[in-house]
Amino acid sequence: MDKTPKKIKKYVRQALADMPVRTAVANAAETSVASRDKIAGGIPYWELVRRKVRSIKKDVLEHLDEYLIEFESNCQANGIKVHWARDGASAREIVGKIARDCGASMVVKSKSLTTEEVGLNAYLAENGIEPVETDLGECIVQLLGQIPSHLVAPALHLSRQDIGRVFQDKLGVEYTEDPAELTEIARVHLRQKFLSARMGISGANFGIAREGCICVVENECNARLTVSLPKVHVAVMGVEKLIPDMAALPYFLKLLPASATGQKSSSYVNIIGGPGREGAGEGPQEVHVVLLDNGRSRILGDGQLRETLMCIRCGACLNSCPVYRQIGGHAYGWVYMGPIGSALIPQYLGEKEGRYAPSLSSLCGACREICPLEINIPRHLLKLRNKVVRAKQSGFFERIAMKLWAFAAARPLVYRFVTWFPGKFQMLLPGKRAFPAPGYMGRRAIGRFDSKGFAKRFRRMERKND
Amino acid sequence: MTDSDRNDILADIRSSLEIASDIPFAVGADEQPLEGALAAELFDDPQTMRTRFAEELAAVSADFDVLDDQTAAAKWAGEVLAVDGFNTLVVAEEGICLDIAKAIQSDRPDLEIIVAGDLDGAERQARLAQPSAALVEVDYALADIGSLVVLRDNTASMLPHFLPESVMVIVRPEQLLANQFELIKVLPQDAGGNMVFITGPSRTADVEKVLILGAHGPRRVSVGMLESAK
Repeated sequence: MDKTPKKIKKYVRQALADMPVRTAVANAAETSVASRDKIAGGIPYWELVRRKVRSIKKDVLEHLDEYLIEFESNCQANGIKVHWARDGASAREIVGKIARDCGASMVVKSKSLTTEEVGLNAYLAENGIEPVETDLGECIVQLLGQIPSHLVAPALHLSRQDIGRVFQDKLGVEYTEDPAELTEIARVHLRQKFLSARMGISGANFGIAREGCICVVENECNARLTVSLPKVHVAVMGVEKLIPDMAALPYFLKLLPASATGQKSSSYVNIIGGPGREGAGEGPQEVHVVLLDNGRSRILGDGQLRETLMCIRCGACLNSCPVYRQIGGHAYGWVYMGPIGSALIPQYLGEKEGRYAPSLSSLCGACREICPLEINIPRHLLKLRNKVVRAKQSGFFERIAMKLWAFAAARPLVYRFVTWFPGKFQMLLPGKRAFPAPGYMGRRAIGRFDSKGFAKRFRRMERKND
Repeated sequence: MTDSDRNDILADIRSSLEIASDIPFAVGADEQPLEGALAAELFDDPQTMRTRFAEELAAVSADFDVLDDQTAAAKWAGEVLAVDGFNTLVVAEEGICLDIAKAIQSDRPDLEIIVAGDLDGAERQARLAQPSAALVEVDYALADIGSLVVLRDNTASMLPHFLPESVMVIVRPEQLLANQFELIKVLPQDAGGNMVFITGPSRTADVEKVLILGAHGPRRVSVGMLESAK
């Protein structure tokens, strides 16, 4: 799959035509929302925690430079090597060099959207280093040569039959579609990789400034094994992922698993504050943290859109989004998807490359309502649509149509004529048909124009009320 | 990395922060109501807290038993071992778990005991990755979510907590805390950096949202609350 949003219209058409995927995604999303509602509803102080976390994150973003310096200094005091990557290329080079220096020909990886964002796997593979995704969902999509279709559940779009076939083809095992057997196959396949890898790569859910450590949250125990079995651990983390101190962590740990997977706690919360003790015989000998900018400092420069950097990647907005439920994650064309993806894509990739993403939303507000940090995604999408138009990146016909509309809407007489005319003209169409609208009518019914028109009806209503 | 990357990023961030924020304040983000709500979550007595802990463990598919003393603990651990038929029992180091393991071994001479801390790194990984069970201690337990907390620096090896298929955990009553907020208050200053919260067996729902226990870590987690260390 082309990992750019250039072909987004094609992806959307493909997604809409794929009924099994639409059904799978919609069902899974609905189940996730129900689980989240149950857990959130059982925490009497849920709203208070949301506000607390929001105020913590706002403070961090507005003093990000100070928190980063504190984080760097405390990590270094704990023996963690801190690297700064201006962009994806720089992050790839840093990780590649660490891998070469430790002689790794294969690396195990736990789920990390940030490494997806910088295209790390492709880079490592091109440089003779095999990247092995160890999260089950990530492992499946990697074997298929796809990208994740959900922030939290990467293989959400696949059926058990799809997974059975890919394991049969790529791992040479007997076909099965039993979820327990499929999980066992992955466990056996990947355990050997964990034991032989010289380097493990993870993301980080949180960087904790005062204590100089990172936190990785997971369920499968693959992240635990990734960060503790190989000799070298590298965590790639966006600069916005900081929280002030350990005391803030429990608030975030209340919201993240509940919003992501409908759990009170994830099965494993790994807090990593440096290499293994000398002589202890386990734990990595080197821990590296790569702090990635890749456009985040630019996003910070927009007083409104800065709020999108608060995202903790729980995926709750995807599950609640009526558009995501219909088109799934691949239609967004990049590694971030759903409502927050629609807001991030044009900011990371620019208004030209990401011009369609902000339109993949009905602006219904369900994302804002469910977001644990109450990020006002609809407001940001409107601003981003506006930026796309101002950057002259909207379509030619759209621009012409909008100009004509603006011309008519500003002139009541013209407006009255152009709304009156189709209502009268449609009488010439045989069999009370509506005007043809090629493309639009392929999947929807279009009604006939009201021959009376809104203005006329409204005036009549007003007279009646008087 | 070059220093210029670091300095450029920090300079860009500082320049961006000169733009006034348009992020609305979180209305009602006062400390007081939240602290009041958290205080109300504390348990009235140890028994209520223990009951809640047991319920939360059950909710995450972990077992819970109360063990009067080491003899009861050995009987309990022997029964858990028998469920999966393991002949290898891993402990992290010398101590109460090794004592219990030896007590089981006196009834089951075929049982092999591995002390993880006595093995060198590579051998430790290889041995523990084979089908086995482990008997381990933890540092704290959290009642409101059924979590177990392990501080890296308090154990000779953390691998027995994650690599074996079945993990039996000994918890002392005084280690049980109400929640993570209480944990943060009692954590030693120098322990903050390296720890793990474990909540039930490893799990995945990546195949059609069907929950499967035992993804890459333990398939079974059994918790025994040891009343007396004798």
